[in-house]
Formats: sequence, C-alpha cells, structure tokens
Amino acid sequence: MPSPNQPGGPRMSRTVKLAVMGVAGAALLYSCAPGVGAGLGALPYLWFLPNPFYRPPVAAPCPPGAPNCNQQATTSSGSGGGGGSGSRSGSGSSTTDASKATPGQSQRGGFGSTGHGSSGAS
Amino acid sequence: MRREASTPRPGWQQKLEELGFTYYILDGKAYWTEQACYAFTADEIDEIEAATEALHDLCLKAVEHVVSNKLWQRMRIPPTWGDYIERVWRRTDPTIYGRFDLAYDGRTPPKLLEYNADTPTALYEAAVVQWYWLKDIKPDADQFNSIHEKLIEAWRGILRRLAPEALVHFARFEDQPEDLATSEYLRDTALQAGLAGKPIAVPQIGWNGKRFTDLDEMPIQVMSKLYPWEWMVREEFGAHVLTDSTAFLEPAWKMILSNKMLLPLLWEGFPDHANLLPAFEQQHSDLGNAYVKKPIFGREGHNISIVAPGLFDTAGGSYGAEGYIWQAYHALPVFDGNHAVVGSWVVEGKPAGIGMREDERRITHNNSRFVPHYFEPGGSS
Repeated sequence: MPSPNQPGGPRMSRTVKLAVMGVAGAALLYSCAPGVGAGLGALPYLWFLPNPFYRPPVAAPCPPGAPNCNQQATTSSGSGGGGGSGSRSGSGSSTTDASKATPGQSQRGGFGSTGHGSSGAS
Repeated sequence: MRREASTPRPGWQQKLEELGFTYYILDGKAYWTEQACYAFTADEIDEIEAATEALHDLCLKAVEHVVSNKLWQRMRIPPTWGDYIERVWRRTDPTIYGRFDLAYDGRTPPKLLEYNADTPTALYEAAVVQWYWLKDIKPDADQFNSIHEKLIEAWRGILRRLAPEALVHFARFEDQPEDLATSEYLRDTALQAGLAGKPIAVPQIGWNGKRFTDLDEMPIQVMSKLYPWEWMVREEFGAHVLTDSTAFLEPAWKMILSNKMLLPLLWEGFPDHANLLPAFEQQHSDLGNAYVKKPIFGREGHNISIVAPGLFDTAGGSYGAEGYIWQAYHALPVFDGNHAVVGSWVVEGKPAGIGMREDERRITHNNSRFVPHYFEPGGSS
C-alpha cells in the first residue's frame, strides 16, 4: 500500500494503534503511567544529561592583533532554523552549569498561575 | 465541499469512550457530532494541503525576519528573551506540531485566520477519533489525516537527537479533559516511537536552583508542554528557562508564530498572497468597513470582535492587555446554519491532515463542534 501523501496513495493513516489512550492503554494510564520514570531520578548519571539541543559557546576566530582575543566567544552556531531533525547530540558531549546540579528540594508552582480562566490551549 | 447528514453509529458514545475520548460533551453541549460530516473532493484536499505547506513556509520566513531584525518589542516579547529565542531557532530545536485555522469554502483559496503554533488542541479528535469513524462509516473513502503516523515519525526524529536514557516530560493541566487528552496522546505517540514519557501537571514543575525537576526531583531534560509561552515568560519560573538547561516542545521560537502580530507581519512581507488576508497593527483604510479585531495574545476566540455592515459579534474574555491587531473580515462558509473552519495540521513542518470545527456563531471557540470529514479519492465527493 502506498504511503500517505504520495501521489495517488491514500491520505489517511494506514493503522492507528494506541499505547496509552483508550481501552488498550487504560491499564497503563491509570496504574503504571504516573510512575513511569519514577526512581530513575536516583540514578546519578541522569543529573549530567544536559538539554540535548544545547551547544556550548564557540570561540570566535581571533583577528590578528585583537586584544583579549581568547575571551571572545559567540553563542551557538548554526544557520537558519526551522526545526528539522539532525544528528544526535550525545549525552555529556556538552555541559551547562545546570547539568552539574544535584538533587535537592525543588520550589514548585512557578508555572501555571496566569490562567485567564483557561489552560491556554488553542 | 459540502456538509452531509450522517447516521450516528449504534453505540457511538461507547465507541468514543473506548478510545478514551470522553469529552464529547462539553459544558452540556455536543462537542463531537457524527450526525453530519464534511465531504471534500480530492482537488479540494490538494488545495488545502498546498496552502498549508505554503503558509508554513511563509511562517518560517517570518520567524527569520523577526529574529534577524530583533522585532521583540513589536511582537510584545520581552527583549531579554531575544537571545534565547534566536539561539533555539539557529540550532534548529525541533518542532512537533501546529494547526492553521483556515477559512475555506471550496471555491476560493484557503485564507489564514490564525496559526495555533504553540498549544494546539483538538489533536486526538483529528488524528484518531475521526479515523475510526471513517473506518466504520465510509470504509471505502479516504480522509486527509496521516497525523498519527507523522507524529510517531516526528518523535523518532527527536529520539535520534537524544541520548538513549532520555525521558520526555509531558506538562499539562490535568483537570482540563481536552488538554489532558492532547498531552496524553502526544505521549502515546512518543512511546510508540521508542521514547520514554512521564506526565506532570504544570503547577508541579519544580526548580531546584539549577534545573527544572519533576515531583520525584528528577531533572527535566525535555519538556513537551501544553502551556503558552507568552504566559511562561511572565511567570516566576520564566527566567529559569533562559538557563537553557531544559529543551521545550514546542520550542520558544513558536512564540512568534502563535502571536497574532504574525498576521500583519505576514501581510507586510507577502502582500496579496492568495492564502493571506490583509492585516494591520491598527485600523487601516484597506480594511474597508469589515474587519476582525483580535488580541495579540488571545486564545479560543476570546476577546475577538467582528465588525461589518449590519454585523457585530464579539466574545468576552480577559485578553487584550498587550494590544490588538486588525484583520480583514472573510466570512466563513455556512452549512445548515453552521460556520465551518478548517483546522489544518502541520507535523514536523509538513501538512498532515485536517479537523473540521463548526459553530452557530461566527467566532470559533474551544467548545465549537468537531465534525468528521472524508473525501473520495481521485474524484468529486
């Protein structure tokens, strides 16, 4: 069967299977799902996983004779956006100060206060 | 394009509930109806798909324009966020989805009403519920809807950019059934793509001084959020986003596209484009005497006013503090007294399918009915 959106092929999904939603996923949704990942936080290495898309500042090329050249830096490089998929940035291949954090008691409630009488969906 | 009467499936409520689609009645009114459906020709579907692709392309150009020229003040985005938005845009932080709302009658080109690029809902209905309806009612017909497959593929693309241990947190308001279903469905497709996903309520998101955390004090590396960026930037934890220790879906550059100021920006950049309506930052002579006034940061039809000869309609709400834009009034097609809007889904930057909404009123809101659709492949409907 041709893939959806190919010329002459069907435009609809070939199959729609559900893992969490509906009857098939109800057991997962109401029993296991809230605990998915629970306990993983105790694994120390997880604390060193940074934002996977973070790129550390790249040192700018030094023009000859530029003063304090080794202190110059640019932000992450790249040209054009658009949200394409790219290659994997490995865990630990980049670090931020935040990635060095250690578990502690978090403050909560810093998001979710605006409301306007709705959740903000559109 | 037409609206057809349709006989509901025997036991349709149970069928919906078995899919986990429990909010087919909202505020005491039918949100899902299968007493009718919308029928399209294949050519009409082609036209909607092409318009969606073209509009998304224009939108990406608009983001580049805003970022390159640092139009933060015009977009009502705090300038302190400019560097962060530029960074996530330049490094191509991924996007999963968005939904254009289009005015389309089958005779004139689809016109962009707005782009729900940050927190779109009605996703599950479009991707799954109407697909099952089609299989039951019109098994030989086709439907513009490969949203489900494209979502899974989009998550696979993200998985390739993550470490194997990575976990995606799904933040939403759990007392809002539509939001919960949208977020859980996203998690469903992420799981099917091979990712691990963990739910969290928006108010439960924590900050431990260096990282966002969940209730288990686990660091949040990637957060799929159903909470508007324009609210986040103004809340207590907003400044912590700028540490860039967590990746967000949708990424922060979507703040430019979910912003109604996008509409005048697009009209300036691409005047007379077939899929755009004239739009301005203030009332303008080109609008004539028929226009729609929209809050720059508005949701679900709130605080929108329609003014035209012999016509005035407005919806209440508490938006508009940041100002308004004015867009030319383009009447929605009316079928059996229902004003119909095409919600055209974009997944990973590509057209993926549509969901039809209708309402007795001209202003579509969050409870406007969802109506399934179909088309006959290769011919007229």
